[in-house]
Amino acid sequence: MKQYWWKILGVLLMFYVLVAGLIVPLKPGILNSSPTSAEAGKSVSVTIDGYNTNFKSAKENQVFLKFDENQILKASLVDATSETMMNVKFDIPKEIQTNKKIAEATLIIDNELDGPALLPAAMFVKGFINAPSNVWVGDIRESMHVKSDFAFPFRNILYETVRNTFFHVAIWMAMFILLTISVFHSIMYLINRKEVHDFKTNGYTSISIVYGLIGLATGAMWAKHTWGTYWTNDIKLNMAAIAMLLYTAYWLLRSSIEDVDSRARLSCIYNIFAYSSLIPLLFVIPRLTDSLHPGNGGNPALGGEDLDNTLRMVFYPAIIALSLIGGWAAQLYWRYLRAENLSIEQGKM
Amino acid sequence: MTRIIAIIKKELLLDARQKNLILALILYTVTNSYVAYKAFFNMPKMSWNSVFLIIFLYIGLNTILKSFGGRYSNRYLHYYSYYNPVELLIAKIIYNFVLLFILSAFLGLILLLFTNHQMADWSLFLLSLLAGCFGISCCYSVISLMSVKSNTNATIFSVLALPLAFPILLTMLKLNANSLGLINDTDIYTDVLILGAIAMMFLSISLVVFPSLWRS
Repeated sequence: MKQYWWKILGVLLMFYVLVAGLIVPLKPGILNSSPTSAEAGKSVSVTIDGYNTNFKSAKENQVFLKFDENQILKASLVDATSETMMNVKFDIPKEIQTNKKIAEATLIIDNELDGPALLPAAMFVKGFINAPSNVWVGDIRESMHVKSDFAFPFRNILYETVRNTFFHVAIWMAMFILLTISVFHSIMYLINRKEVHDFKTNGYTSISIVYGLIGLATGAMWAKHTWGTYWTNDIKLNMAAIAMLLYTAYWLLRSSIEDVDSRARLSCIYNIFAYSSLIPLLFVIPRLTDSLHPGNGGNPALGGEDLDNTLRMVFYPAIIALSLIGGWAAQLYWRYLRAENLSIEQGKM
Repeated sequence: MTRIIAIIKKELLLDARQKNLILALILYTVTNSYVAYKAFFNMPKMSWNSVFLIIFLYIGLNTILKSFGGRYSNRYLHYYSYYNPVELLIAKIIYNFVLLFILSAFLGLILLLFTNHQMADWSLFLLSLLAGCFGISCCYSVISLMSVKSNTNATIFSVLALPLAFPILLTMLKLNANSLGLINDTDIYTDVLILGAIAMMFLSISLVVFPSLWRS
């Protein structure tokens, strides 16, 4: 039982990732607001569409339009029609200080049940005079309700698909860990020529290819929901496709050579080469060009504001769980290969 | 070092005796570029870049992937009995690198001549070509020996070798677009460094892996 601890750990962590990743709710947020433009000096009534919010049950809904740090406008009338719908009225002043032609404002809502939520670029105001005004409220940070529920962040465009971080991103990381193990066994084979290392190389590489395909599939689904298509001309997607080609070539090489010894040696060497051309493909070249992915071409990387603490609490276990389960699958597969090889040697097949 | 130079000299001598080999490579380059030129009729600079890289890749496959097999297979026993594998590999890489560099520079000249385009930055073009040729020569020299050792259909190895060159080709694509004047990156010499680093990585792996391939 003792030697199975990592398999049990992998399954438990995976269970935790599935449950927490799919059940934990998103933080309250604003889906959209309409209208999105207004004339300065007039009042405008805005309909706000909330998500996971409690407008009706909350005692005190505060709504603000924030032009910048010092120019924040409080709504003059707030009327919650349902838990997720709210009509508010803003009296927009004639004077706004900005050097742009059209003033852009962020919509901020806050109540004691949901905590603050905001929608950037929710309101565009034109026809104003560039002058100071006295309708602004002061610092609103004090009056905000701080909520510390365990909930995933609400992000525009991503919405519920933010959960795919635990599967799509984690599976690529786990694939890379498995490939590193497979290269380690390739090197071991070239050093001591023990057949078992060749079986291990094959096992880990095969599971990595499966992981890569799952990574592509989850990525395609995510892309459909956020970017609008299953496949874009994004550099990272092409790199991932080439990586899959590299390892398909590894399979092709294995199947094309009859002799067991030279097959093992050549495929181990090819595996080392494939891995070394994978590193620039996945980690260097995407950073040089523009990409839609975070962490590439000027987009912020993981960490920063992409990954907050609640996401981290599921994301890191997800990487560990997927690596452990992948290692288990690879172990089963290389043991099968070894058994098959043994029975061929003994003439039973 | 002197022994490496001796091997290179020997290779050169043996190749120079068979004049048809050099002629065949030059003809291959010219024919390919002429076919591309005729097929495009009026080739824009963007296509020039991709056509150049594709023909470059195929020259690489043709010249280097056969550097241990093919016309060289009769020399194999000679190599095996006289040379140290690492020295032989270094000599082969240098020889292939020079051959590929001359051929691809020639290819670039011919394509420019046919299409009437001007290279905006020759030094960047030659620099990226140097680094790219070196990386491809490092990587394909080992694959070439693999194809000899496997005793199987050699065409399978050109399929295997293609995706390995992708990082080099993609970096070169960007560098060549810069040297043609299609785009203007300010920090382009970092990319040259990255290309050099990829080539160095292939070189070190080749050197480490080659003896174990040679021994069998």
